[in-house]
This record gives sequence, structure tokens and C-alpha cells, in this order.
Amino acid sequence: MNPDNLVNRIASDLYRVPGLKARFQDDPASVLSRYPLSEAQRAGLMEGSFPSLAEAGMHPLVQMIYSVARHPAINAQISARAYIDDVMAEER
Amino acid sequence: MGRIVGGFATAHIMMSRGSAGDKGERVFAGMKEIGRRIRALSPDVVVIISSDHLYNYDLSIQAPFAIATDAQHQPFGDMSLPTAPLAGAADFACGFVGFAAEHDADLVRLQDYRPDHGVTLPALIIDPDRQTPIVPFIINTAMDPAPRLARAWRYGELLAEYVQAARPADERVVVVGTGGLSHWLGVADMGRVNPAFDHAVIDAINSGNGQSLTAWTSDYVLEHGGNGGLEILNWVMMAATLPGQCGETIYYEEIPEWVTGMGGIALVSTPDLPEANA
Repeated sequence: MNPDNLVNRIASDLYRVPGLKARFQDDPASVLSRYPLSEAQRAGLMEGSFPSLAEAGMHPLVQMIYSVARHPAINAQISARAYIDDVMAEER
Repeated sequence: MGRIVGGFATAHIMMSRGSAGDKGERVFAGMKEIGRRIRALSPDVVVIISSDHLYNYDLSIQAPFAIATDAQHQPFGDMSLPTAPLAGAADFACGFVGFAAEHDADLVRLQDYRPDHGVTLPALIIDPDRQTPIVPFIINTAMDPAPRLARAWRYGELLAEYVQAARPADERVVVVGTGGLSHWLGVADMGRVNPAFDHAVIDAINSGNGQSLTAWTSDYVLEHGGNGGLEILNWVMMAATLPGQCGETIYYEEIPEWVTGMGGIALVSTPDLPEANA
């Protein structure tokens, strides 16, 4: 595994490995312990703020999907569901 | 010979309802107006050009231009969007892969692609019943360097040539470029919006001069429109399918609350304007 891409790979794995995102949300430290991260990277990924993710070497756009997994409350902030429900309920 | 009967561009996000106040409602109204106009054109196929937000792609293999060829698309469900399948247009999409190859343009075929909000949100506003076949066309804005705007223009030209040369008589195609406008994601300027950049894009395309935007380098776009601003690639490709066609602004709002300059425009092929048919 290319070490330059490791933190990005973790974010991808969360969405591709069945059950991993749920396990990560239940115990993020345990999931991250399986990856050969530096201690600074591990701390950054545990915190999950955009500056800390950038410092850990995460691609800016990857930060978006990782932060949603790390902080599920973001889902409510970025939900477009109320608008779409409105559209689907309209008569056409 | 098919025909591109309309080109549109629109932002492809909305966030928690109420979080952007009246500005958010005006954007929503503008998106719905675009949906109404597209439905009024009775398209047989809608090509939706978007970036992938890395729910499907990762950084290990980078495809600059790609197209989803499935007969049905299962949305990813990000941004709490519904995951019920969207109708696809496999014949159209596969045909374009072949047409592009014959014209020395590499187009990656995506199978089992799960459209994220970039495709799904506009698709559901265009057709909440999910009956109109859509073709997701994905331009990779995550790669470094990003594809040049001139290449997006060329793929738009190719799409128009394909519809004209290889599609069935009377097939009606609408092209929608999504995303943008200025926004900075995961970088120091996150939350910045640059209306001057946004209006420059809108004005160039609406005046029929979308090709002039191909003079911009990716570095210029990154500086003035942000890494999210690279999604104007999707707008430029759409504009290239109706070269010279003037358009109108349907909505524009600066929305720092949604970290984005949000715009929507409409270009309707001249023979399909109501006055031309009167």
C-alpha cells in the first residue's frame, strides 16, 4: 500500500468494505489501529476536523466523505431530503 | 439523427432546509423551474454531467472522463437522497463510448456506478418519477492535474456529433452540467464564495461564448473558483453541445452557509423555443 495514499485509502475502505463504516462509528480507534499510520496521522484522523485531516495528508475532497463517516451528525446538516420529498410530493 | 433540444446547468447540492433561509428557497425554486423546463422539452434521454465525490472513485486509479452504461442506476444515497433506482440509457451510453473511441477520445465505461448527489439530486428534480432515462457522465475533478477545460469542451462537441450522427431520428436529448460554481472544500478558504468568478462563467455561457472559458487554466480556476469550482468543467462540456446558443440565468445566489456559489442557467436549442414553433 502506497504510504502517500494510506489515509485516503482508509476513507475509501469505510464506504467499500461491508460493515466497516458501522464498526468505525462504533469504535474508530479500533478500526484505525489496523492501518500503519503514524501517531500524528492517527490523532488527526481521530479528531476528524478538516485542518487535522489535511495535516494527516488527506486529499481535500476525501476529507468530505471521511468527515461524514467520522461525525455522523454532519449528515443532518447536509441532508437535501426535505427538498426532494417536497418535489416528489408535488403534483405534475 | 437525434437532436440536443436543451442544455442546462445547475448546482447539485442543497443542505438542511432552512439553513440558508430565503436564499436556499430561491435556489430550490430555480432548480424546480429547470426541472419543469426540461420536462416540457419531453426528452428521451437526459445526460447529466457531474463530478464523482469519491463515493465511487478513489485516488488509486484516476479516470478523467467516464460514462455510466447501466440500464438502471442505483443511487448511493449520500445527502440523505432516496436510493430507489433511476432509469438508465444503456444503448445511448454504450454507443457514445464507441463513438468517442472512433474519434480518438478515451471514455471510461462505468458499470454498477452508484450516482451520488451530483447526479441524483438533479435527476430527481428533473423527473421525480424516475422514468426519464438518464446517462451519468463523470468528469474527474479530484485528480491533479484536473482535466483541462478545452478537453471538456471537446467531449461536449463529440456528444453533439454523436447525437446528430449516430442516434435514431427524432431522439430528443437534454444535457445538464451540474455542480459549481465557486467553492472551496477541505482547504483553507473553505466557505469562501467568489461571485465575480461565478458571474464570469454564467455570462460567458449565456452569451454564447462558453468556449472562451477554455482559455482558463486549472490553476486559474483553483485560485478564483476553488477546487469545487473545477466543476465548471461540467458546465463547459454542456455548453459545447449547443455552441453559440445564448442562455438565461434561472437562479444565482451566494450561499456561504452551503459553502457554494449556486447558479442555474438554461440554453434551449433554437428550434425548440416556443416562439420558433409558433
